[in-house]
Amino acid sequence: MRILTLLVLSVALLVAACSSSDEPSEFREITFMAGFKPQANLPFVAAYVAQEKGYFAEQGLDVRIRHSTGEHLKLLLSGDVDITTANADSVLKRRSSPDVPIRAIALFGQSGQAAYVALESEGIRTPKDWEGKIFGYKTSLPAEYLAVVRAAGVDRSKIDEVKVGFDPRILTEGRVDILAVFKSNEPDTIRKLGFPVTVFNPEDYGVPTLGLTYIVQESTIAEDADMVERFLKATMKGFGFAVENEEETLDIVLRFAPNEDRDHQRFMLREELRNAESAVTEQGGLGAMTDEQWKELYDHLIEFEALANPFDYRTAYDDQFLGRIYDDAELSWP
Amino acid sequence: MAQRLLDGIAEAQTGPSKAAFSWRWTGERLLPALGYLVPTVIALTLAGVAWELWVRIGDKPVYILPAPSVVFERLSGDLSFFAREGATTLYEALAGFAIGSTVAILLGVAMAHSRFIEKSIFPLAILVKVTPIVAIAPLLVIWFGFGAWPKVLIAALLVFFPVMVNSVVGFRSVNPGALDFAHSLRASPLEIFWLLRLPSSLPYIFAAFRIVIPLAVIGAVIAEWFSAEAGLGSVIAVAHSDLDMPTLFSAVATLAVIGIGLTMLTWVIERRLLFWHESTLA
Amino acid sequence: MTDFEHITVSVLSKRFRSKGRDLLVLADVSLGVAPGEFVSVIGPSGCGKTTLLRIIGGLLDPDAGEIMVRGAPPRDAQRRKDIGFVFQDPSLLPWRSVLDNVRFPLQVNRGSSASGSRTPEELVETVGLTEFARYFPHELSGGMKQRVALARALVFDPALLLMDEPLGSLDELTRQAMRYELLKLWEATRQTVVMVTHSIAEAVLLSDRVVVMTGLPGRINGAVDIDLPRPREAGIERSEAFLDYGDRIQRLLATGGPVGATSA
Repeated sequence: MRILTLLVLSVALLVAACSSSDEPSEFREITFMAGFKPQANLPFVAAYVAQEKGYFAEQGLDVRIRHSTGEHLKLLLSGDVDITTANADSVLKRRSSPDVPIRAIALFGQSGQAAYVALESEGIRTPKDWEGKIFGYKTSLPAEYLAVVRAAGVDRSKIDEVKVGFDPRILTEGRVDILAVFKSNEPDTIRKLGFPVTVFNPEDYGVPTLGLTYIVQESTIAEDADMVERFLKATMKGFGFAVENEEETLDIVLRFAPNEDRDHQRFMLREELRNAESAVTEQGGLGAMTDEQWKELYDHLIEFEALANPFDYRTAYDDQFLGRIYDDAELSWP
Repeated sequence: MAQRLLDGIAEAQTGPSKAAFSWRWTGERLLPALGYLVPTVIALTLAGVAWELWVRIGDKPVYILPAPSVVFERLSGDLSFFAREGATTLYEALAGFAIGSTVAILLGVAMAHSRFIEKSIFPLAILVKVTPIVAIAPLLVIWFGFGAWPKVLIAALLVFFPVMVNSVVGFRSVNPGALDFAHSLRASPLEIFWLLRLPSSLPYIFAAFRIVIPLAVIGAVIAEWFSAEAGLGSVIAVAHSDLDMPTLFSAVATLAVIGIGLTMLTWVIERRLLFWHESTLA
Repeated sequence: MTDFEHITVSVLSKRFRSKGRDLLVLADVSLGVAPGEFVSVIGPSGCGKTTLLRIIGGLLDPDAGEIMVRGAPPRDAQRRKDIGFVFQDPSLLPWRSVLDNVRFPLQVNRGSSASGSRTPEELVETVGLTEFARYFPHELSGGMKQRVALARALVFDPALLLMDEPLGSLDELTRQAMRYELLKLWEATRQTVVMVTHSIAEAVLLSDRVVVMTGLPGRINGAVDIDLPRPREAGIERSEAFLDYGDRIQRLLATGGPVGATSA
């Protein structure tokens, strides 16, 4: 009799203990796909930190973090992935053609990562020096390049433009003189190969650029707004953490990218953080974006014929979630 | 002109007598042979209809899976574009095929005559074969620039191994009785090669050709992904990043036509040159 | 042995290495063949008949002993195109027509001055295949292919014809018909012939002399001179003398004979 009582009591205590925890009674499982290999791009970093520091768990989310080999947009559209990353100009391009139903919900780069580099030894100091040289781009002629060329008054007919793919050795081997790169990536890589480089920033020539964003399907916004909000809250907290805690953030990144070089990841993180804050984020919190920013980018792309069709640019983003999670640039938590 | 070329080859092999094949033979054999395409056409049509229905009924968005009708519209609406890009890829594939086969056959001659050469070269050939294109292609672009050369070389690398292996086997597969007979006439190694080994090797070499011609096309396409402004591989890469599925599928369809066309051409040439071989007669 | 032997084989022996063991294929074989003589070599399977033929023809070298063809080593005879070969497998070149197959020997060693008295077309006619001159081997019957092989062997009017079971791959009916064809052809030109065969009847019908060999190691057990009148007519196989020769050969085959027996 006594044993039975003891048993019942233990079970009751167990049940009480379990249900009295702070965790929500149910975890929502979702998949986030980073748009490239594991590395210190800000949108990836925000998710890594949110995972490791338990922010996702606090928001009742069980997030599976995957990495893309080029298919992340397709996987988002097929529903295999709930949230992924994309560059702001890609969002505009894809909405223009073939008009995929996606929207950007947060902005990580108040200015973009597109830049151009030349070997310092070549003595190319200004865009005017690009005349008579070979310019290499990765997949298609970037609108920023066209804008820089126009802004600097360079004669484009004197530049030999070639599609080169993704190997930066094309520059060090002298096959091209100027190469289109990601500011946070190749300049460091090339320097480490032993070649100092001169970097050209489109922003210095008045060209509007925006960086990486989180994107979701329109149907997700309509049907699963709560999940989106919770995800954004957790990742923006992670974003904030990365701003203040560089070394610990690097530790976390290297857990996801064990084969990467710490110095290079530090360079990448710092470079992207440099562009992460502006007057916009001071007002709206980290990740904030404005209608003016999108319009400016849209107009720029239209002007340089980087968009197949004109469309309503406002369908490319949705800032309602940012509005909900921030109160006067302060993140409400939990 | 082709007739004269074929006659010339025949004459070199058999002496100044009239060749056994003629265009009439082609007419008698080729047209019924096209009849063999009927089952394929029917199968493809059925598959196409099923695909179309699936897309329409399932309301699949065009950027995931375009319906055949949409692809067809894109393709037929810009035929000259796809034809032009196809011609670029075709040229790279054929050039690669020519270079790869020539090197392979020449090496095959050396290897067939010397076991030492065979044993030393074979491991190197295997090394070439197992190295993935994705590792080699960027290097070739760095070394050879942005023109056609990297694509031609990649195609040549893919063509090389099967042709080499088959030519060695072919050169050694001479009827022993014929070889004895030639020896009894004190034929020189060069005469034996030209009069016996070379014709004996043709069935094997052509079998290899049928395998490697599609590979040459694939090689050219993949090489174009790494750096190219023209060619179907480049079209596919751009269409992929633009999520332009109709264009992507149109390019794939064009590649299929090229591949089938080349294979049929090889088959026709093979049947005419190898009219005497069991594999053709059966 | 006469003064001017076409072929002289003295105390020949030959070993082959097979599966790590030395196999003595021919032991102390001696043989002489007179000009214009038709000699058949008969014996059980594997007794070295083919090996002997190939040595005579210069396709193999003996380990011991001497062999002379028309007073010179076989290789020289080859160079002079003095030897014609017909194998059991006609081994025609399948990509060449009948006519071009017969032309083949002319295209080897073009530099040499050897030539035959008959054109390839004439040779094709001689073996009765003029109608089929443009046909290809895969369109011919076994017998026809062997006839082409024969025409091909005669291109240079060789003084010596070496045949290794030339009718061996043919069916019985064709074989019997071809024997007479062969006879007719030979009787027109009268080359020296050494023919290996399995068939006693064939040997007796065609030859002037039948040499009998023993099993491994191959030795010559004895020889039978065939004294039948020429030209040999159809039906001669039923004559007493014919059957008698057959018996003698049969006995030589069965007995395996005294060691060291030499040829006649």
